[in-house]
Amino acid sequence: MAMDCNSAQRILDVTVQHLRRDRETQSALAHMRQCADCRSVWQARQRFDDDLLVALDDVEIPVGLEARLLAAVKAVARPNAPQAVPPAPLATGRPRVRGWMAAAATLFLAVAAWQAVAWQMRPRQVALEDLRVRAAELLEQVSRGDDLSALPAFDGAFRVDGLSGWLQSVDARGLDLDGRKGHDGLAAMVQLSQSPGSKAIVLIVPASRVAGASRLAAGDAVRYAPAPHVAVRSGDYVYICCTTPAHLPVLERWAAGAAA
Amino acid sequence: MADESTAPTAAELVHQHYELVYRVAYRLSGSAADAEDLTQQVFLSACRASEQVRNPAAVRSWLLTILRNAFTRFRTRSQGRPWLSLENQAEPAVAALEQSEVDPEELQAALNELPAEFREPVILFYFESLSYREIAERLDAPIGTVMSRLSRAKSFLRKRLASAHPAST
Ligand SMILES: [Zn+2]
Repeated sequence: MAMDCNSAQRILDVTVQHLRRDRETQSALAHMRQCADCRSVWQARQRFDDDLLVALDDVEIPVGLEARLLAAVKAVARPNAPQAVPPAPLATGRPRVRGWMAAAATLFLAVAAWQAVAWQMRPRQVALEDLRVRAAELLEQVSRGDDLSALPAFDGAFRVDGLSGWLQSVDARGLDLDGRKGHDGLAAMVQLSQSPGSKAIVLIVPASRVAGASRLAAGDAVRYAPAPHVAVRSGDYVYICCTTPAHLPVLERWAAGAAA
Repeated sequence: MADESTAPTAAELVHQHYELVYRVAYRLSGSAADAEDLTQQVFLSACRASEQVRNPAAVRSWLLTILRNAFTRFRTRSQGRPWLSLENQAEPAVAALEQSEVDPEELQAALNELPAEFREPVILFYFESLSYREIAERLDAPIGTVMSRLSRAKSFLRKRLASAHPAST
């Protein structure tokens, strides 16, 4: 029990996915496994966090908000919009587009243009978190019985060494992660056993395109709930695998060894 | 799934995300009027740039990033919230935590007491399920600072909300 109680509790408190395998979190987890006090504190905090999450989401959405937002967006988007004329007030709720909108619109346009440029100028990398979300969405889709045919066939924009045979067998689909020409990721559905619940989604993305990939050491894994998922850096690629908890270890081993 | 290379229309952007953006804006700003202004700013900015959106999975965090920027401008205009000392807080007992119930309005009152620098990591932690390391990346702040703020803010919320409903034992 190298780590003390205060440090262990503090680290686990600020780490959402406590199964994350960085050394610090692992030490905190190791401590907790052997310390009943920390375990009970952590469980009570988890329960409190769950309550707090529900309460945070409990925000009443103002009546007519969507319509007001659309009206505001359209007023600014119209090229020759009469500057000082607010759109017709809506049946419910207060009109949001006021006189100061004309001046503010100019500022917003500048900010928007700047943000568009900033967005374009960013390094063309994707957050691991976004890939996780994408994998989870695709898993949900195939779990409903759909296939991935809505995605374009992978255009072979990059080669995954050692996996070309596998790629042909799985009907790889292409992902355009950065809006530029060509695929910069691929997605495949894998059936791990006869059981209908054993479907898995594997995303493969060159490590250079994944923000934070350098933090994923080879064979390092991150698990998330409720969509169990593992991200593995192997060779020059990041593998994001998403399936049921029971099948995850199989995929994890496969991904860790895929390019080895 | 729609063709992923199609950028969402303004109406789609608003329709799919306005509730989330409003909720986060409300929790950040603490008032319905400010939340609506912030939400409007977010979609005005986002819709101008929506042509560039090619990655639907990233839209949510992109919108929340625009919201955080808008909120930062907003709070520099409306500074003056009294600084709250978050030092030396005693954590509530486990039993008090277990028996407490979080009331949404009390939660907002507690969030309002937190300085924005502490509120933002909390919102990212809960709404975007980010750990302190990821929050530090998003806020472009040192990991140690973020960890300390998040830890103190969560501790403050526990103390504030658990003591609002003291354990009956
Ligand atoms: Zn301990």
